[in-house]
Amino acid sequence: MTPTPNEIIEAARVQAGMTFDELWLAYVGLGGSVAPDVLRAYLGGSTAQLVGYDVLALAINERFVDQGGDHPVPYSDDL
Amino acid sequence: MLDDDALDGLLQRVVVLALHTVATAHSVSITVVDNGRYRTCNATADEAVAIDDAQYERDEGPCLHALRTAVQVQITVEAEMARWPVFAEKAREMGIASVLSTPLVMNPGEAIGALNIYARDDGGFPEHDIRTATVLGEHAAILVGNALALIGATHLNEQLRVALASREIIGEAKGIIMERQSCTRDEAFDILRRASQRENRKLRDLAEELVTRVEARRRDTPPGK
Repeated sequence: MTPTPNEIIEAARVQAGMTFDELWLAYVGLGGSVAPDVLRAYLGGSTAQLVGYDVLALAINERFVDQGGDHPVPYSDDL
Repeated sequence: MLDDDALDGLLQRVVVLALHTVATAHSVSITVVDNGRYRTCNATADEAVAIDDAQYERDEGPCLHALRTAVQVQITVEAEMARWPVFAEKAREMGIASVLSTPLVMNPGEAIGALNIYARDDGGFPEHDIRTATVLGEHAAILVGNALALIGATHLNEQLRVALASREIIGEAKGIIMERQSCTRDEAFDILRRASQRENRKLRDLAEELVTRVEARRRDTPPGK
């Protein structure tokens, strides 16, 4: 089964070694707007609210860049 | 961590209070876990610091045992010569014969520090001394726990400040792109995001460059030109 966007983000967050708080802070820093509890619900798959997939993907990709990597998390135009 | 003056003063009062209320006490110290390492944050005498240090050095001893198990430990030095030799040697050198270490417990089963009472008498501690130490340990746990929470919150505030500064500069950059390209906010973000991917650089850094460049140009261009 193809992973859903929220599943991609959640798996990437774990792989990048980011805590939920770190992801939310990075997301807000990049212009993301939803509250922590909404983001948590999105990652858990219990809301369909639009949270800005690409902002989340970038937040995690920037962590990978810090670790010497590239942008492994796909953006929405590559999904 | 835990170097806040007010907290330091309060914890110092706890060790001094313990020294005066626990009749058998000769010296008292508090061990805390500081960034994953053990440290004596307060003590009434150098001998307590020296005996604490001997325990940290070998990663063993009654105080660390109390801290790790979250259970109060009462021992005589004589009885622990084989189990904790480095600690016992140092304690004997300092003339200490008994130790009562009370864990500072925040959540059940989890200690964040220990209140260590060192005595010269080799007969251990009477029941009321143990009760006093337990009560003082509960108070010290609240103090240390609050300090840790405060440090955590301060750290989060700093991270939030950094995030908001980044958000602001990215917002300005998006505004510039929207105006230039007659595009939406989301499209402006995509333009920045693609540039970030292409150049493998942080979006925030690209945004800052763009804003700085535009500002410099506006400064250099007199109004009306």
